[in-house]
Amino acid sequence: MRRKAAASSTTRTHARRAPLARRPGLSTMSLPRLVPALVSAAKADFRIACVLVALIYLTAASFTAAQSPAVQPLAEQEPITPVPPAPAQDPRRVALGEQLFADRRLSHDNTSSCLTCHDTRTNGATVNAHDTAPDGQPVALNTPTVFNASLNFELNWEGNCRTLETQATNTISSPMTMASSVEEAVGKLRADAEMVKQFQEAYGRGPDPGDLVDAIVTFERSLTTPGSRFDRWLQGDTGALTAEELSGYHLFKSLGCISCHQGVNVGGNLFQRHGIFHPLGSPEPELVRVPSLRNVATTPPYFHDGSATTLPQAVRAMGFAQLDRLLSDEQVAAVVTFLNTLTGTYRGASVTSAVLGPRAAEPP
Amino acid sequence: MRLLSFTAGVLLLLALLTWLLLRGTDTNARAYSAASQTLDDFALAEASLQRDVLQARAGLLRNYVPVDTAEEAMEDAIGRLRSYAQSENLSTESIDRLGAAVAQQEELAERFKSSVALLQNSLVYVGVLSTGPMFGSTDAQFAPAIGAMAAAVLHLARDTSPDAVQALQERIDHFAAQAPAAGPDAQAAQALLAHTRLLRDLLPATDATLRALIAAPTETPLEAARALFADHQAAVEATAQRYELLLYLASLLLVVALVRLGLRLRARALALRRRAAFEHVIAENSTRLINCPPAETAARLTQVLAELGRAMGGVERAYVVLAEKPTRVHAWCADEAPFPDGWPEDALALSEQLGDGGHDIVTVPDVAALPPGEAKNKLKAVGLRGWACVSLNRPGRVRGIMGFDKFQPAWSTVFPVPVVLLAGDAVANAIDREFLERDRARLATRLERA
Repeated sequence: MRRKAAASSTTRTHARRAPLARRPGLSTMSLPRLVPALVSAAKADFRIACVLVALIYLTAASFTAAQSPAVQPLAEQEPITPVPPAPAQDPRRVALGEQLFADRRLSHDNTSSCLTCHDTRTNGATVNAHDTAPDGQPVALNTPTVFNASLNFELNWEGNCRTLETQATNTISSPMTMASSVEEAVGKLRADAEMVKQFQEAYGRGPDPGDLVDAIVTFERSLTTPGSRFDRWLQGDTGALTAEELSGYHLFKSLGCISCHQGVNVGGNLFQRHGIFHPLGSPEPELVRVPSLRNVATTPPYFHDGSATTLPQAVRAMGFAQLDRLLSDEQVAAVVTFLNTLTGTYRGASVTSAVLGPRAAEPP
Repeated sequence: MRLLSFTAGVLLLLALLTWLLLRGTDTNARAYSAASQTLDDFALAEASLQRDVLQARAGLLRNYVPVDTAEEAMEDAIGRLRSYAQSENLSTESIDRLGAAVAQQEELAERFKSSVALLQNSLVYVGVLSTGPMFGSTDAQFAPAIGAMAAAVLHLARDTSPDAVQALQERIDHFAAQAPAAGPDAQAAQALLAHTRLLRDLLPATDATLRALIAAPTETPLEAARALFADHQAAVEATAQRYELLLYLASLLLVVALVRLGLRLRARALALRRRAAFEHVIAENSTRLINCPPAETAARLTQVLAELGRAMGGVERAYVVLAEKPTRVHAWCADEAPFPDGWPEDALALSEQLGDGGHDIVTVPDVAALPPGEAKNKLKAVGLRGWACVSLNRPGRVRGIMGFDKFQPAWSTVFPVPVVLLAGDAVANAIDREFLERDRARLATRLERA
């Protein structure tokens, strides 16, 4: 069935391959010649060989699909899936976590909170290419957004945190961020009668290191941004995207961006080298977690070093460095048009860009 | 004190039975079932992981979230298995080996995802450039070399042997020799070469990663863990069965004890009934003797002895022997139990001999158990196996005994000494009254004569 479908949809490819196969000196192998070899192969090799045969058909099919304008907006057929609603959690813990997220007592010198670098009122990050450490020095890597972080398989640019719990604990204790410790923060919170009361209500006991981290993580799990126009299109709303945006999505796939930026978070689920064909920003770290493109239009600057200040600039640089392609202005514009549809909503409002320094906007 | 001991015994028994019950029912079935399910979950997650990476390699899976989900499921299963092993005090060696294999699989899976993403990207690029109209792929100058190189790439995608790599390298060299270095197509030609060279290196490496991932050694530790849990469960069930057997035996002993207790209660009830009947007989005959005219005492005594003998049960003969001259005897015997010669007259002397301590009652439950001597010989001589006698002495007037002969040993404990003495008192009082009446008559005769 699959062979029949492939044959009918890849006429052009076969037409070009037939004379090549008859050309002397070429090492292509026909299916009838391939079968006996597969039968005699070892079991594991046989499975892989079958997969590779399927790959040939798929590759041929993908060539045609990339050129086909017909798209069915079905999520299960696309490599990107919609952002699910935030999980059902204890609202008291979420509220406590939100309060802790904005609490400067988590830092050693009481000057910065999680919100300082992850402004959840805008894009979950900052406008800075490099946020500053407590000693005033810029941190090495650009701050990724906290929105949809729970959907990533690893956290941070280097993917050095497997869980939100580890990431929260490390952030509180890292000298480059809060330079404190969970225990120190808990000690401060225990002196606050109102905070003790809120912990009592949420966890049935006073502030505790485990509960402190759990409350923050519970809040972070609520920071998902469903409802983007692209998600609505995936869910069957064919009018959610314009023809230009849909064309941009096709280009996004045909250029190969989709190879890394796929899944529910449009990235965030694998590691990749940067600068495969040409350098892309600072060389370190060599291997980065592929960033999510959710809300990407609102999260400049871009890349691990924050070197791209605009989205078109980032798309063009990615095409050159990772795909070895000089994208035309029209191609860049089309991809950006598609990326703009990935902006979701948080608490009923669309995620927006951070326009001011979060330290200035942060509540006292 | 006795009630306290009884209560303590009952509580101890209840505690023992409860403990045995709990140990007998503690088969750990739920935990084992959960562990077995976890092993199945692990196997399913691993199969899903292998399926997903194979699909990804074939280009059929373009979303790598399922790979991450399978990895998380495997890690979660490892955690649950380790927790179960630790809770059951089992060796975690096989779980540790399984965890190490999973860590290896995850590392390989991450490497594979990164590689296959690049690979799919470059495959698409090579495909588009080699078939699309935007580059010189339709140009007669480049088309043969580009087509040959694209075919070699697809062949390498199927067969990543060194020969296929060499074949692709030859196609790359062939195209590179004629690719434009300048002009409108130069950038595309160089990009095509770059992607093809990337695929040349990436395809064999990716397949090597895939093979290592598929061949990760999880089967042996997984089976070892399964066998470890199954053996442990078998041991737990065997222990539980032993406790069930002990519980059964304890229950059986309890039933026996309850039956024995019931029998004892029944015997006591019967004894109480017989004692009440005996006391009733004593009271009735005491009344009769009181109301009996002294002249009729002798006849009434025989009747009373008969009723007492029957009421006591097992008594073949009953008699009253009074130490008069000649010896006065009132006797009753059951059918076919006549008195031997000299008996019961000799009973008076025998009672004095056995009741040397001045006891009001003498009982010989089993004649055979008596120490050798004259008394034993005498009793055996008259054919008795059990004997009892009650003193009827009234100072100054009556001296005698009331005896009971038994042909079978064992004197019933139903009739305690006070009750039997009560019967003796009734009889002694009747004889005493008779003696008084006789003395009164004698005194009256003397007075008349005077």
